[in-house]
Amino acid sequence: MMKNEYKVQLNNISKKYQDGDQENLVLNDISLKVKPGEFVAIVGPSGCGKSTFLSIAGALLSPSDGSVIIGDTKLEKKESRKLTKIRREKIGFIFQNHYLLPYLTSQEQLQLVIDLNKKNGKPDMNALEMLEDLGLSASAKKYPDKMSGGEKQRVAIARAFMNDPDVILADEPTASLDGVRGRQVVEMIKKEVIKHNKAAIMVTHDERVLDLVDVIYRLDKGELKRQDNY
Amino acid sequence: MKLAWKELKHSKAKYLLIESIIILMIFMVIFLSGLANGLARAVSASIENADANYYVISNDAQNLIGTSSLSKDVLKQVASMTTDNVTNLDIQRTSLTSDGNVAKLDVTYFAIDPNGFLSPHITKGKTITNTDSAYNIVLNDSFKDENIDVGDVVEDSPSGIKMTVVGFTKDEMYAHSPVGFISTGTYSVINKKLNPAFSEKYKAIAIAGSDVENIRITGVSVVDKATIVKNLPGYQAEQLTINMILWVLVVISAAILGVFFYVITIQKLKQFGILKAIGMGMRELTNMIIGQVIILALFGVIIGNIIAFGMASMLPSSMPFHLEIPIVIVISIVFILITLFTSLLSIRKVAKVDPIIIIGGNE
Repeated sequence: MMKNEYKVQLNNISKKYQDGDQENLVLNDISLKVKPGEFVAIVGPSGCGKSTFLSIAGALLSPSDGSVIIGDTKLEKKESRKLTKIRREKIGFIFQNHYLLPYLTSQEQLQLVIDLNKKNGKPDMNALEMLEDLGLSASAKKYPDKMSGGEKQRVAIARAFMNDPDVILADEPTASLDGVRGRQVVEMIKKEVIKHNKAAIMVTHDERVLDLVDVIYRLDKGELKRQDNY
Repeated sequence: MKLAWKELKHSKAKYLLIESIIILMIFMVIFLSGLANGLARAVSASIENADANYYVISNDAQNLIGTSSLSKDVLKQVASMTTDNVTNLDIQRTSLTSDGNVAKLDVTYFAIDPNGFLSPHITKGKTITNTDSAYNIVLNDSFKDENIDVGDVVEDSPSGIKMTVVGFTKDEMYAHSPVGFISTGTYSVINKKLNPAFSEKYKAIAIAGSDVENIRITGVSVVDKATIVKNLPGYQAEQLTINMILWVLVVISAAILGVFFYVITIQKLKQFGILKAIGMGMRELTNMIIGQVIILALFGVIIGNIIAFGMASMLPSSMPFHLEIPIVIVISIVFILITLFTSLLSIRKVAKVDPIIIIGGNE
C-alpha cells in the first residue's frame, strides 16, 4: 500500500499501436499527477490521443509502457476482472453523450452504482441528496427520454460520484450541449469535485470552459504539455 | 434480476411482441402434443384404459390383437395357470343405426363379461347386464353428439338386433372408432343371427396382474399391454410422425426465441458497454441476460399452456385431442432449457463487448 498525496498518477505512459509495418506512437512518455480537489483539463485537437489517454487513466486500456496509480492501487496489465473492479470502486466516469441507461429513472441510475458497490465497505452515497444538489429533484423519477440534454448530463455527473471514487474522468462533457448549458455542466462538475474532494480529469476541446479548471494540459502529437498562462 | 425486469418493463412494446411470439409457439407445440396424444388415444384408448396388464392372444396374430382368435376353453386354462383375475374380450368393428335413423354409425364392439374387470367406467346411466332377452349396450360419449341418450334403442346394422343404450362411458376409442360395450352373450346372439354356425370364440384373454410366468398353452402367447398398443394398426406410424414434428417444432421455436434475443442484444451492445465501463462484471451481466430469458420463456410457457388447456376444453369430444400433463411438463421444461441454451449466444456476444467503445466521439 502506498499512501500518497495524489489520487491519480500516470507515470511515463506510452501507447503504441501496430499499424501495418509501422508502429504508431499515440502517447509518448506522458506523466500526470492530480491531487484531491484538483480539476485538470486536457485539451487538444481531435485525433491527438485524448481518448486513448482517458481510456488508460480509466482502466479501460493498458498502456504499452509506464504505470497508472489510482488511489492506492497500481494498475498493471491485470486481468480484466480486476480492472472491472477498479472501475467499479475507484473511478467515476462522465461520458460524452451522457450514456444513461434508457430503462432506469435518474434515481435508479444512481442507485445502480450504489448497489454495485454495496460490498466494498465504503459508506453508501445518497442518490436523492446528490440529485437535489444538482437541482434535479424534480427529475428523480424521470426516464432519460423525458429529460433535456443538460439534465441528462447532470444525472451522468451525479452517477459518477455515486461510488465515492478516487478520480472523476470526464470525456468531452460539453460536446452535446450548447455554450450556456455546457458551461453550467462544467461548473457543476467543479462544484462537486471541490465538495467531495475528488481528483478530476476532463478531456475537452471546448476552450470556453477552461477558465473553470485549475490546471490545463495540452496534448499534441502524443506529448502532454502544461499550459500555465491561459 | 432487478435490472432485467426494469428493462423488460421499460421496453414493454418490444418485449410484448416477443412474448406473444413465444406464447404462440408454445401454444402450437402444446396443441400439437394434444393432437398427437389424441390420435394415440383414438387408436388405443380402450386398451390403455383397461385394467389389464397382459393379454393372452393366439400366436399367429403376431401381437395384433384384432386378428387373434382363441377357443372358448383357453379362458379356463389361463384362469387355472395364474392367480390373477382373468376375463375374456372380443373386439369387432361394425356399424349401428339409432332408432328412426338410416345413417350408419361406426362402432367397435368390446364384447366382455359384465362382471369382469373390463367392465367400462360409467359416466352416465348404468353398466351392461347379462340378460338373454333385453340386449343392452354402453356407448362412448361421442355418440351423444349423434343425439343418442340413455334409454334410446340402437340397432346393430348387419344383424338388426336391437339394443337399449343403458349408459355412457368416456374416452373409449379403438382404431379411430368409438367403442360400444356389450356382453359376450349379446355378441354371440348378433353373430349367430348372421352366421348360424357361429361358435363362441374370444379375441383375447385379459389378465389383471403380472402372474403370467406359468401360462404355457400351445399356439398361444402372453403379450404385455404396451406391446399390444404399439401393434395396433397405424399407432406407431402416426405417433412417430407427429412426435417427430412436435420435437422439431420445440427445438425450432426455442431457437427462434434465442435468435430474437440475440438481435435485441446486438441492438443493446452500447448499453452493455456502459454497464461494463461503470464496473459491472460479466457474472452480473450474465445473470441479467439469463434473468430476462427466463422471465420471457416462463411467462410464455405459462400463458401458452393456459391457452392450450382453455382451447382443449372447448373442442368437440369427437376431435382426437388429449393433453397428457406429464408430456406437457416435459415439453415446457425442454423449451425453457433450449431457450437458455440459445441465450448463450447473446452472452458470448456481450462478453466480447469492449467498454472502450463508450469513450470518445463515436455516437
